[in-house]
Amino acid sequence: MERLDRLGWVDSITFKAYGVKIGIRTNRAGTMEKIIPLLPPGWESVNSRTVDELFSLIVGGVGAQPGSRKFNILYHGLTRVIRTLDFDEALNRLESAVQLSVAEMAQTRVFVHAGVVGWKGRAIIIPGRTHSGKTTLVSALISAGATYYSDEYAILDRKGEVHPYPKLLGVRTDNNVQQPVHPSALGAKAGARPLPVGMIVFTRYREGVRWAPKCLSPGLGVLELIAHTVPIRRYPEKAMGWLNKTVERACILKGSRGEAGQVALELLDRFSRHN
Amino acid sequence: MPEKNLIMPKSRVEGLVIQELEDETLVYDLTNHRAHCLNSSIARIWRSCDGRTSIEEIARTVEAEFQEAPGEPIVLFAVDQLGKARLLENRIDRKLAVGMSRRSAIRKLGVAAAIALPLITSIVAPEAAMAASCTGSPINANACNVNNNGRCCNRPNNGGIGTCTNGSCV
Repeated sequence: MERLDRLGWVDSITFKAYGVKIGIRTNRAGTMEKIIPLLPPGWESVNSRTVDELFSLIVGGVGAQPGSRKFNILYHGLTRVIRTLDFDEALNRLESAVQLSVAEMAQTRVFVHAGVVGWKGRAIIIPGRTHSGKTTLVSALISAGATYYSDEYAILDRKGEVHPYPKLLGVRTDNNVQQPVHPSALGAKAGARPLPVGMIVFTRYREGVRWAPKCLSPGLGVLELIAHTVPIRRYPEKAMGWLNKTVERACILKGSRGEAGQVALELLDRFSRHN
Repeated sequence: MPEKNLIMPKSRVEGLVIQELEDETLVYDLTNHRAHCLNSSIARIWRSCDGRTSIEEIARTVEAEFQEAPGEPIVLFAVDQLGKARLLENRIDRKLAVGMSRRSAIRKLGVAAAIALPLITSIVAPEAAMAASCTGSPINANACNVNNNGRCCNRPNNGGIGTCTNGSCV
């Protein structure tokens, strides 16, 4: 760490998000302007000499020799996270690594990798890994009138309610690159208050598949949620307990789906009948 | 092979987080980060495994609940599952559970009793990075290395999208 500390950092920020203190430092002036928009929702600047997690971003750019370039390198503590000539890729990894740290270490919330919308005073949670199609389904639901809560994490509290995590939607373009989209661009409002959970949908896109999900019991629902719960290994007792509260009165569905538009309408209809 | 009336299975307690739902029991094994969901039938049998009660005696209790269904095959099936899930301190001789697959258990017990067939569902709890998003367009699994942790990758054998973690696509 001493060697890293001696590298000549010109700018830094210390902030708190969900109770986790994060420090980010960089060797290039002006970089922080690009970093700040990537910080987790709800972050607030703090004045602290110690942090829980430290990220160090060495910005590369033009090298000493004509035509040469220097790598951008990101460290998380002493661990090198990425070494790349692509500055945007380094920023993406910084954003992802900071989010993951907050999601894993937050003490007053349990983070589940999921999309979330609000409907008739309750939440619909769509857990899923990257590329499972959850953002597409979230977009379809908010186009059908649901309120946007998140397309990255379901933020659960001890009562089992879910809080908003209003990061911009990461909608994939045709060449598979994520573009940030504000929910208002899809005609949606962003939710502001925590909601009890009315429905949990485990699904992934399969071309041509007919949507015919099965219902899961609460216990099997918790088991499926565990697969997407970021801090489950760090705080298993707390996380499992809060997941139990989350599923208490939820309709839990599992099944592959076809196109999102039709499935969204069927989900909202089923939700209204169940709740 | 020990007599069945001498086998006294004992449920594990150490290193387990146990949480009861209305009809199911959730167990998190801190030693191997596996999570299990026990239905009510197997949870009752598990609680009966106190190290002092034989399989025969547990079976008699089960018969009272399942009425005409034979208790012993159910208990042997359940205890075998519990052993495989490492929820017992002493695993029974697997020869006693020969032929007791789930399908054969349903055949022996009949459809009505199959509804209450003792069952465990298990998963491995993910590490934090595996439970979260990867970034970037997916690369080949063999392109994962220590410099691109967190990058999206194509798992082998059409295994879907994974995350580069310490040189592997998981």
